[in-house]
Amino acid sequence: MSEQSASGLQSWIDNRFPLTSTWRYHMSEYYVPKNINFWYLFGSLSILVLVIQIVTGIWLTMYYQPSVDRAFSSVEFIMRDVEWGWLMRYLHTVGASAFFAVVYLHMFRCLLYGSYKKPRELLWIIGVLIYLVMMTEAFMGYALPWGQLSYWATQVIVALFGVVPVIGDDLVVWLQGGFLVNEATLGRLFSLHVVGLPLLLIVLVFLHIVALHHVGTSSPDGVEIKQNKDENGKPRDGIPFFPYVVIKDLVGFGIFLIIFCAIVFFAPEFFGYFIERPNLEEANPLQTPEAIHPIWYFTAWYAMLQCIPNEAFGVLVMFAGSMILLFLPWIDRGEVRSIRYRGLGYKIGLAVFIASFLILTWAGMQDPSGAPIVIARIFTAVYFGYFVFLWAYTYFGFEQTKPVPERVTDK
Amino acid sequence: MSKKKLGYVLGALLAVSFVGPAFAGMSMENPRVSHHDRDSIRKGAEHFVQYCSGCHSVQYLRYDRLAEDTGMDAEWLEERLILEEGLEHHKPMLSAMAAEDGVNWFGTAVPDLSMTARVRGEDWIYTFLNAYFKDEDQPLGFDNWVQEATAMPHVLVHLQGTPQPVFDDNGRLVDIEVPERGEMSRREYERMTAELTAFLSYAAEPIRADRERMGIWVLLFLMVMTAVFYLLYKEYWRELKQK
Ligand code: HEC
Ligand code: HEM
Repeated sequence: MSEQSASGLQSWIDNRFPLTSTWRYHMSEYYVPKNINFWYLFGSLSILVLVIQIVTGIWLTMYYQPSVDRAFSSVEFIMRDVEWGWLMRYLHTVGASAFFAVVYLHMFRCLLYGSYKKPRELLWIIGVLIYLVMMTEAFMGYALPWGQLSYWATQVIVALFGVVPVIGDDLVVWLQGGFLVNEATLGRLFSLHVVGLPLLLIVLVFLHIVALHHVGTSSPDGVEIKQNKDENGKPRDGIPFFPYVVIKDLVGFGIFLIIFCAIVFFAPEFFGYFIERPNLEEANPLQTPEAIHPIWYFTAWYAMLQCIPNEAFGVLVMFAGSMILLFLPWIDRGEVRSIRYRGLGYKIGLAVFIASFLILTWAGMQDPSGAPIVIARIFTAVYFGYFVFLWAYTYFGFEQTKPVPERVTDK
Repeated sequence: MSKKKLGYVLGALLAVSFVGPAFAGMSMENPRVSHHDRDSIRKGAEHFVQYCSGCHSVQYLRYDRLAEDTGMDAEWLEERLILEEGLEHHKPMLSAMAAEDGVNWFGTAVPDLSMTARVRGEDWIYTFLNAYFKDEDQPLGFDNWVQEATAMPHVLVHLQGTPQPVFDDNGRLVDIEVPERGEMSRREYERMTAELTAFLSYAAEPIRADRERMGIWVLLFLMVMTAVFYLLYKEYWRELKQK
């Protein structure tokens, strides 16, 4: 009886909304390679963190006050007087850092297994756009507590637009709504942070998943499971996303949450990396903080900006650093996707590339003088050099690849 | 103009980053009090009201919250902490001194101490309170190793005694000695300044101790949850492999 009414309801809905077919298409009959590994977890984890950010963000917005006089004290009000406010705030700040950690690992997987290659170029480009929006979102969120670094980082970042030829100065005044970073600036940062950019982010993530489910998940071997289907049209090496991958991802969620909550409850400042000390002091436009560098997930780009003496050129290089990722599918001409079967040159190149990003991240945290500047210059060159190398290596056929198997390998 | 402004901002940052510590041979000391030690926090609050709140506010801390977190009652607040007649208990700990007075008397506004322990660190505060030394060239008669030419008078001098600097051959400060003790022994003075630090540390983040206590349960729960997921995963995938 109850079954009947359930199916009755189901068909009632299905006649009006594609419920069952959507569920099948995206969950119970979405096939992924049976040998996807650890590195494939970070996409789902990004969704988890996105949800955490949105839910905690909604709570914070109930009490936060976007005004120069009250922003800082309203955050302390949340930390001290709002029931569970401290938890919402720490989940949100640690969540921001976790978001970048998880997305960086997600992007690394793409480099490992050539996930950006045909037919996933658009999926990759949507991903890079997500990353750009995330950086903007994080920068704006960082401004909101109106601590010393919030204020001064906003000064620096907005001033970057001053290098735009001809209209630069007017652009800066227009962006910040006055001649200085002020109440109007804070208002727009707030509005974009809580409404504009999250909406954009959600739309982009939706498109990301639509694109993914259209082309299918790649395998760590770079083999397409769609090329080998059984008589019913099911990929022989595929397993349905629901329930198998869902339950596997849940284990990953659990492990992630253990690490995440250990930080939230025991080291929410994460030794000054997630919440920086000077930012616990209210903004003071008359006093430059002793040392200023952005939060850890931006320092690689900041190192590029700082190490170049010409400001306009520095700004250009900094933006080029992330924009160049958009073109990666066409820079890498190699036919073989997965690092498992690629040439030695690719493996070494990728290792050097990752090292250069980590070293730049370190350099951007140091005082901008002496050795860190020189190191940043060298590794900025290495960072961009990687793309030149990768193009030449694959375009001129230097790469010695190994044969790619017909079917996915079992571990 | 903006190009110049960017250059100015980056330039200013570069300039400050060269300013190093003025004294060598001394180091920051840890107060060695746990943030779970409610007694020390309570005593620190009492010292604070006695010696510091004449000048300093702790604007983000409410009296009743302090009482609750240290396990004390309204009577304690009335007797030991609240000096102003009839002040409601949920009011923040504000100093009676007006901001202009601070500027007039000390040449600088007296800083609020709500966040100091998180901005500067516990070690900084504790060392600061132990780093005064006699210097006749200073308007207040004392300098401080941690905050050079500090505008804060050595308000605890009657307890500590007069601290004298010890310089090496290059004229660098290497130690501070107190030949004539005040009302307190060295031990007592260090203990008291550690308690003050514990209080300020608590004031900077009242939830900290509770947060850690809760964290243990949260982690235990998550571990159990993850174990259940893991068993489920094993179960589902065994089926899968049999197929
Ligand atoms: C007579 C007024 C007065 C009293 C009493 C007083 N202070 Fe101060 N305090 C000051 C002033 C003024 C400053 C600012 C010093 C400066 O910036 O040079 C200051 C600065 C400080 C700072 C450094 C804050 C910062 O971030 O720079 C700390 C910590 C501090 N006081 C702790 C205490 C403690 C603890 C007591 C009680 C034992 C106390 N003060 C009593 C006037 C006072
Ligand atoms: C909010 C941030 C993001 C979310 C929620 C998200 C989500 C996902 C999910 C759930 C998957 C499938 C699972 C997986 O393969 O890991 C996926 C795949 C993918 N993502 Fe993302 N992603 C995000 C950001 C990015 C970024 C920044 C990039 C690249 C710059 C990117 C590029 C890709 C690519 C190329 C794939 C296909 C992988 C393959 O099949 O090999 N994503 N994403």
